[in-house]
Amino acid sequence: MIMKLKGLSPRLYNITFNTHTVSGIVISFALYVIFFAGAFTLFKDEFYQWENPVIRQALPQPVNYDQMLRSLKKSTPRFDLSEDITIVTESAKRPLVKVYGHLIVPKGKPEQHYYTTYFPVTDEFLKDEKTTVGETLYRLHFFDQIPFIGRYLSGFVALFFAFAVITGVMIHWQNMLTKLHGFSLKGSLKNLWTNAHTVFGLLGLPFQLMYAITGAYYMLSFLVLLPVVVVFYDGSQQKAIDDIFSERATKVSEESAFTTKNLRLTSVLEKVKSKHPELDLHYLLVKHYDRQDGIVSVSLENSKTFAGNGSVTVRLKDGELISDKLPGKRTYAESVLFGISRLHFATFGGFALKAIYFLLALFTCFVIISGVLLWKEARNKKSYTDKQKQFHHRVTMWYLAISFSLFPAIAILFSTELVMPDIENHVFLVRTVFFVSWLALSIAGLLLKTESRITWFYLLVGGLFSVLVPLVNGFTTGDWIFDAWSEGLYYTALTDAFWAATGVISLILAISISRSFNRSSAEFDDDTKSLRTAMKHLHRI
Amino acid sequence: MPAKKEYLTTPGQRALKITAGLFGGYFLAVAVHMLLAAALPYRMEIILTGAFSVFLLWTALMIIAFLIRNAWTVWAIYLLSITFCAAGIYLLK
Repeated sequence: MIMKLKGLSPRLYNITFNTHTVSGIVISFALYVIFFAGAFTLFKDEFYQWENPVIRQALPQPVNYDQMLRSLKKSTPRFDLSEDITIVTESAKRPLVKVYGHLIVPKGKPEQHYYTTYFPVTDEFLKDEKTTVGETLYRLHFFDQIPFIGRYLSGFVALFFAFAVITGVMIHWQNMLTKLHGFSLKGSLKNLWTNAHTVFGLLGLPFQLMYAITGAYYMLSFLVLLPVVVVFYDGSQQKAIDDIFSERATKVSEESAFTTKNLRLTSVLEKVKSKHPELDLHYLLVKHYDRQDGIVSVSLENSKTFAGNGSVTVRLKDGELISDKLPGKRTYAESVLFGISRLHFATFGGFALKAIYFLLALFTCFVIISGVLLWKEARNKKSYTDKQKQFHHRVTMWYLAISFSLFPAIAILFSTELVMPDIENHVFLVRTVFFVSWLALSIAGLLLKTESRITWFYLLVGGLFSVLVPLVNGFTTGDWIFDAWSEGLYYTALTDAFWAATGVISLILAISISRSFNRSSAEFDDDTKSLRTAMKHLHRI
Repeated sequence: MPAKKEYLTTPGQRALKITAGLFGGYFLAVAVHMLLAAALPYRMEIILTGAFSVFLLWTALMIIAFLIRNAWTVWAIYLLSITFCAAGIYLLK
């Protein structure tokens, strides 16, 4: 039985189609970069020990935050213990503590922020990042490296992605139910890309729309907040923020006297932890640490359920509970922004959920690429002049080169992190190597003439550099895959295993494509066959 | 496959539709949320829901701008609706 939904009229169909094509082509390669870099960013914490071998050891005991603050005060006497201090606590995957505080300034002077990272394993404070793989990819996925406009640019790419997703659904509305299982490798190249684009687009639809909207929120939230501040808070941003993040807004008095008798953070935390063993510590917000009205707000999370964020606020004088907003006790309004964050960062279902997110992100990259190829193939007919066709081909090649070369470049980024010696501008040099190799690889790919050649080239180079990653780790740190696993460095071993598997799969695909080159008797224009072979292999995997 | 040209509008009309969707769509999406937040007793809930629903409504308004035949009609509808919401917000706040 074939069920048909009511479709658009010819006029509306063609208009929608046109807007879908234009918006899609304009954002395509930017969106590919966002999804590809973002897919790796999901595991930023998981591969942190891989990128920073210094901390590849378990913490002997939980960090003592009171001691940490004391030694921070000793090394930085201007650090203000009376101002708000946010402490992002360590995790097994990422054993370091981030401290966001203030410096003491003379009365009347503007406040000065202070940020440092505490490495409990080596017991030292570092103001700058020592390693950069996760950070570079994280920032790349919202174009933070482009000064001033990068974030807004990525925000609008997300917004237009929402536009492209919804117009895409409108186009295929009529045949949506049959399209879900309409993937086929038969027919012309145009049919192949059309099918791939439609089917994978539909399968990934909820995921893609979620990312379009949450992505737009993260980069363009000021567009929502600004009118709220103007209309309901008479232009006072602080008042709006206090209302929206009410948990952080507990007031303390500047008149309050200094004291040394406040409860230790450690004792407060011990109590909270023993009462709620299912919750993990996320961060602490401390106010007036050394004054009589001091408080600590403890943010906790249950990473196995969706609405798992919560916090308790405790008075430091006597340990009295001031506010209890643990999971299950929160209102809708208190949960919305946390919900967006959990959806976007995939932090509600453990490792398996992140793996599914990763695959769906790669599916989305595939939808983007097949969309571009489909755009080109649909224009490969008599009604277009040769000049137009050349233009379409050139655009496609540029898009493929920029997009596909990101894969080997990321593998190079991983290797460079460990190969580059631990010198002062280590981070800068690693980043430079990454961006320069991305650029060089893009240009190298453009020397090739067909889409299948360029695909083959990047699979080959990407495969080689991927295989290199676990080898580099083995040679530089001695933590070969199986050694790392038996030492309990599971995430380090998994990172290596991921790259090894990715490398092998890419090389097999590259070889199978090059075989079909030889078979298709020097006919350079016939890309169909090699691509089909590649698709078949992808299917088997 | 590429969209059939005879159904598409002139460049001038298209420019008007794009700007209507982008700017008119944004202000109308925000104005609708503000009006609801001012009129209903769930102000905080609506403001925070806006974190995602503003972008959804904005996208929808961008698409609708293309579907209506005449771009001037789009601008007229969007501007009138924004004015209506603004008046409502002013009176109810």
